Amino acid sequence: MTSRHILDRLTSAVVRTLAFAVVLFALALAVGLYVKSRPVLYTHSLMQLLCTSAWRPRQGEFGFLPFIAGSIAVTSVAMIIAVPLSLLSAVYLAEYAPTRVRESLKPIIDLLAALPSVIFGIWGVVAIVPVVKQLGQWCGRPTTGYTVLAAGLVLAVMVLPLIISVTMDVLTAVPREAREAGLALGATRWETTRHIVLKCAAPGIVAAIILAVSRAWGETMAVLMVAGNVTRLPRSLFDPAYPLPALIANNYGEMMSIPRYDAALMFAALLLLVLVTVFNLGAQLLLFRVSRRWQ
Amino acid sequence: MSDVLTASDTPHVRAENFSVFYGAMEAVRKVTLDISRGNVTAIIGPSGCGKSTFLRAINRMNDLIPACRTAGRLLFDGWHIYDPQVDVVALRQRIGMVFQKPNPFPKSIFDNVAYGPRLRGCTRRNELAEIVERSLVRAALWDEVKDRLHENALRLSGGQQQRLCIARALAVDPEILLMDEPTSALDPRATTRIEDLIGELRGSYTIIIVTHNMQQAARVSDYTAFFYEGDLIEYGATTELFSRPRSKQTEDYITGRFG
Ligand SMILES: Nc1ncnc2c1ncn2[C@@H]1O[C@H](COP(=O)(O)OP(=O)(O)O)[C@@H](O)[C@H]1O
Ligand SMILES: [Mg+2]
Repeated sequence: MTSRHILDRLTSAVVRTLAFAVVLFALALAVGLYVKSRPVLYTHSLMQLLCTSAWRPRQGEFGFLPFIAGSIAVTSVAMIIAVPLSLLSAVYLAEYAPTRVRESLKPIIDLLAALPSVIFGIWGVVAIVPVVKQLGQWCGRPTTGYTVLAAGLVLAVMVLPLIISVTMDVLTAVPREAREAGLALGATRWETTRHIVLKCAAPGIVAAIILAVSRAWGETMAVLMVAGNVTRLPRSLFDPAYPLPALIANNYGEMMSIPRYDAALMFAALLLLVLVTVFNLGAQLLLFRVSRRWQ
Repeated sequence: MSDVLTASDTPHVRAENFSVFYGAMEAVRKVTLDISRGNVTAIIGPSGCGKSTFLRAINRMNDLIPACRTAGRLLFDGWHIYDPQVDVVALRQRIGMVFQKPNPFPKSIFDNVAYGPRLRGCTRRNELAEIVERSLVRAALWDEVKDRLHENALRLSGGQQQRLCIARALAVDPEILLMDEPTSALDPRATTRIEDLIGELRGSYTIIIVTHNMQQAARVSDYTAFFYEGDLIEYGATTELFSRPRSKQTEDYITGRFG
């Protein structure tokens, strides 16, 4: 065996081990969280934990519904705002904008996508919360401004550059031949974009959205600063919310004398992990189904 | 051959001192030639000599390249192709194109062929079915795909994909078919099928085919244009050009001394 063969085998062994280790680590994390949350799982049924809204740790009542609903509400609002806006921006930048505009904006967008989330949080407190407060007054819904809407807006602005950046890369990667095929048949630019480019790019765009949902779902700091953090089921955009990550970040390490409180927080973390995993797997499966129809 | 030429004396495409620039680089230099109606015209020459650039100027595919400019005149049926008033979309429906690499859409065979007619507002199911069948028959693909029109076009072989692309181009009833090395990505058998097909389409369409394969030019074309470094060196009836080249450069090229 030559040294090149040895190196080849060694490399593939190392890569395989690393990939395996990553999977193992994620599993270990889930198992660890499960073990730590067992005290609360012994005393409460899953039904009680997931589907009730009473959160009175001192009385031993742990209903996670407000937090789950808060997380879902905040993430959904963010996506409803961010997805259409960012897709349109990405299409404009990748397909229509002059090269100069595209090339000067791309690095800025990439930078925004990498900004620490606390900056978005501060911006939310300073700029978004007062606007939402004003808006609530106009709509006859007086609020402090710390609401589902504020958190959704901040998250939307946070994931916007992420979706734009990934989608731009995906659109740019669509081969020129695909575009030319449409144009040569007398399709307009917009028709070519809509029928052909977006279709070729669809799997990548879905991947970008999955990434954004996961980021919004797990975002802690920016949300915690503007969501209001009130343990109540949010019923409108102008209600405060208390998403799961904020619950953990705000309370972990405090009030640990309350029995099963830390187990409940571990359970919240487990929930966060399981839900984001289920969402990712579901989306991947959907993507696989859709793309297999066209393979 | 010559009867078609006399049937209509305006050339289908005419270039007069026509140049194409990429930035400052003149990729096609002051070319003057007439392409006659209903014939197959081959464009040959070593790679990088401006064949594709010239071909893509005819349906304004070069518009996609920001740095690309033209000078001189290029006429289609007597109309200025580069007139700012020209509706490029309509122009491209009358001048179809087949590319080097087969590029079917990631859609079904039916939807590929129906794409152009649908763009023009044809939505009636039986009308579309009729156009799709007619186009596939003309592209000599119907018998192979008639039982699986709703399968993904990407499952076809390379040669079938290329014939599908020809069918797709024919479905919008173009007058001219531009082909840029349509067989260079195909195996010899698939190549023969495409060449036979070009023979069958001759007369119904004006075909302009770029090829780096001289045997192919000799087999399929009525007229041949030899380009070299952006210049049109020689242009004439294919049999003439291959048997009695007037220019030394043409002779060197077709005898395989360079290129
Ligand atoms: N998009 C482009 N931008 C700049 N230069 C180009 C572009 N496309 C082709 N060229 C240049 O123009 C010349 C002719 O190219 P092309 O028409 O593709 O040649 P051929 O098809 O005969 O091989 C080559 O020198 C090539 O490098
Ligand atoms: Mg070429």
